[in-house]
Amino acid sequence: MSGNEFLQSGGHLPGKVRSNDDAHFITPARLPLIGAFGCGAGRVLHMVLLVLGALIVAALLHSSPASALSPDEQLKNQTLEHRARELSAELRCLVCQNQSIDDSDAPLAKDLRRIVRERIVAGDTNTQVKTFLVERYGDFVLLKPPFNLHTLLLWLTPALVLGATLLYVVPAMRRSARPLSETAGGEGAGSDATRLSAQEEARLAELMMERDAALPATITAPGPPAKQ
Amino acid sequence: MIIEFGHFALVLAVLVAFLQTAVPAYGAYRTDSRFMDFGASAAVSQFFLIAIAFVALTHAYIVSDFSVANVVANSHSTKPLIYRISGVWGNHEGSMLLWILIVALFGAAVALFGSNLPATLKAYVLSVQGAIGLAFGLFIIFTSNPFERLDPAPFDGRGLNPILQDPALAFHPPFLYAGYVGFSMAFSFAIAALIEGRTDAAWARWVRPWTLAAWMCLTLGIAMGSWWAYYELGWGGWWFWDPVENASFMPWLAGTALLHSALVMEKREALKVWTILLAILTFSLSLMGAFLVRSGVLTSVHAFAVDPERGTFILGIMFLFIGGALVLFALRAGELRQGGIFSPISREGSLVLNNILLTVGCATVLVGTLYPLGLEAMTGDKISVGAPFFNMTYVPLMLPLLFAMPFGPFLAWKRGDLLGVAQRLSVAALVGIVVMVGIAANVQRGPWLAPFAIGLGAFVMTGAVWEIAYRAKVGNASLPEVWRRARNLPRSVYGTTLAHFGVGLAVIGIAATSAYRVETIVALKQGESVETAGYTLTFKDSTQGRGPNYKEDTVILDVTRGGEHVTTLTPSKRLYDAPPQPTTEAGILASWRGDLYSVVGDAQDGGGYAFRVYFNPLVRFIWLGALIMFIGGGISLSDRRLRVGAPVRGRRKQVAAA
Repeated sequence: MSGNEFLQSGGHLPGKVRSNDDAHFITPARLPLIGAFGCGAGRVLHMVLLVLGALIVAALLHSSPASALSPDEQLKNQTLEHRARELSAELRCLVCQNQSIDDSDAPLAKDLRRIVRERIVAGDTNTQVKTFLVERYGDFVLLKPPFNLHTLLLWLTPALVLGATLLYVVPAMRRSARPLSETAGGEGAGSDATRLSAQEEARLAELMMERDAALPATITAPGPPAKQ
Repeated sequence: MIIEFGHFALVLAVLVAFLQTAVPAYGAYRTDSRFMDFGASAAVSQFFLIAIAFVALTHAYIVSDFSVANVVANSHSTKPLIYRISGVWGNHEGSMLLWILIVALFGAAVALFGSNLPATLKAYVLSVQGAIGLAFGLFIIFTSNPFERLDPAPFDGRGLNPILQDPALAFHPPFLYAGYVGFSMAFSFAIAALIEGRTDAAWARWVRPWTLAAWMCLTLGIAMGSWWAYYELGWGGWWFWDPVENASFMPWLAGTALLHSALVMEKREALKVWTILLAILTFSLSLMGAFLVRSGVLTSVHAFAVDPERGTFILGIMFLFIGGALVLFALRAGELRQGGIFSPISREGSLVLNNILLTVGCATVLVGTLYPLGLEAMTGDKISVGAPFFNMTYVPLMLPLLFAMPFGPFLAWKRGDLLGVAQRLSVAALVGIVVMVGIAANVQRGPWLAPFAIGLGAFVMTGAVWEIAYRAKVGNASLPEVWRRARNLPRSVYGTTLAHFGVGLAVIGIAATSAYRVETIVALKQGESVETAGYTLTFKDSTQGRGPNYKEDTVILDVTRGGEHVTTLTPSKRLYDAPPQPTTEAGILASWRGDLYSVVGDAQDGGGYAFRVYFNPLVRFIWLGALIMFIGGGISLSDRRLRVGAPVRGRRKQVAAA
């Protein structure tokens, strides 16, 4: 996203962009949303808008949409540059919220882009470049977290939830696939409190009747036979 | 004075909300219609009181009353009228007022149109709706009051962020909120059903239109936000898997699932327990979205700790409603009678599959969004979960869903014939395969998944249209007969077809623009050109000018294609006066093939500017698809069978005819 600061190239907004060292504490007190640094302003505002207003943020920071990667940063070698771009998209700008270094115009992101290109030119593989950055900045720099003990649950969530749902649904399907006579009354017999009154039954019948009347002929609808 | 009037109305509305919560519930408990009837009047009064408060605040914005702190912080006397109005909900306090206005609107709608609802059900629904209004009303009064005054009043306001001064954005929050809050109806009905211990087809018939309306608004709201981000933020992206985006996407996924499961419940009385749970979860996700965005917890745990008041309050609301609802669900769900049975291969079965995949997708987004927060709180480790994670986990879940989509409407209820349906869909499948092979053969770059996804989109679109053709017996009957059949198909069938068609279209747009986007970053001096995606862009000239409230550097790019002049693009950079903030205005050439998108960057040493030029193939399909989904929902909503109160009117008509 956003990229650079057009009119304020360099992006140094005093007090807004902090160094990486205090990345944990970048949010000024009372600023309700994060990302109050030069880098993500456009993005931050987008988020704010999604659910709320942006005034507070706007007042506190002078955001600017921008273009991140500038022409002079690019490598001459197209293949290497392509690799650098792909890698950059997977690396987080540490002082931004959820923004890759490829998109960010923060000075830190620019430094990281330069480091990535230097390592690639020096002959590092993609994995080596990532390892190099993780050693310095921790897993936080990776937008796709590594698979380890701490992220086990994260990565397994889709499989676990899918498995749990199937474990519940498949037996239920089996049960309901049995003929009517076996199941009717089993789960269904409710207490008096759950049974419909005669009046309610009548209303329901009306509703069903109307629906049957409106249904296309190709669908056979269940329900009480329509009164002629 | 008007402000005090609004303030007073708001406080009064909260008191009414309290009564609306307590009295009808008591009445329903005692089966005393005097107390139950009170709910309807309370709901209508609450709506009018909040409307007064809202109008009072809007008035302060329109006349630029800078003795109101909220107006000072968010408005400026030189802003155009539309942005002074949209400024009302362009900030925290005002947007919360809009939130409870919509809650009250839905409550009033039940009160006014719910005459055919069973009395106790209606009373409980109004009571729950009142409780939601009460909780957020208290939140506004105690932590986010928009009616606070400033003394002395400043001469002018601080202005609205210029990138928010945009028509698409002016209406983005109201639609989004109507969606979020609209799901509160399904929630209230679910709670009422659990308290009463029963549901029936009439219950689902009532819940479905409300859910559909909320879903439509949310669809449009999300699409508007995405479209705005695309053309305004200046780098041509349209979705970033940002936590705040996810906060709106999760209720959409759950709401989509709810829409489909409510269908099964209405037609077949099956999936009752699941539908109720989904109704609870959908609104819970809306509440969680509000918490995530409002509390600052997304920023960092530190931000939350620094200013915990609002966050803690919303967290309390969240625990009360979600926790209370789930406890009630655990206690009472067993009493709900399970209805119709069906074989796995059936319309119901296909809708169950839809629900499974949407739920798993939603859970994936949820865990991905919250995991970094939880991990940091528990271990202190900081990790990032960004777009690459979601693309890798969420996207594969949606592919089988898309594949199954055309099958659903063709399958019969109870027991379907999969082979028969597959035969009927063979033409659609053929179209999909031809598209896929055509793209794979002609486009050599990009991931292998892209042709597959585009083919899938074509299959979904053709399959949707094919359903209408099949039902109208196109090719199997005379033309007048086809016409008669097509006219007699219920509108909801057309609604489904359109919505599914829109999904297919959006999928094609997403896949094409993600995989085949062309990007060029280049420095150009005056007179130089760059070629991209068959276009040649020449930097003709640059001018400096002034708009009403900004300075502007505009670059004139001449666009030619095959030697012929196509258009002139004028990307620019602006610096606004108040607040002093730079923005970029992209120069976009829109076409059916895709968008040529140009942004001007920094001035270069030695003259000229940096440029980014993109070609985003078929990118408009994404928002066009969302718009078609919205229209499909509207057509479905206009189906007489879905309309609120239809049974009564229908009966009258029958009587009259006889």
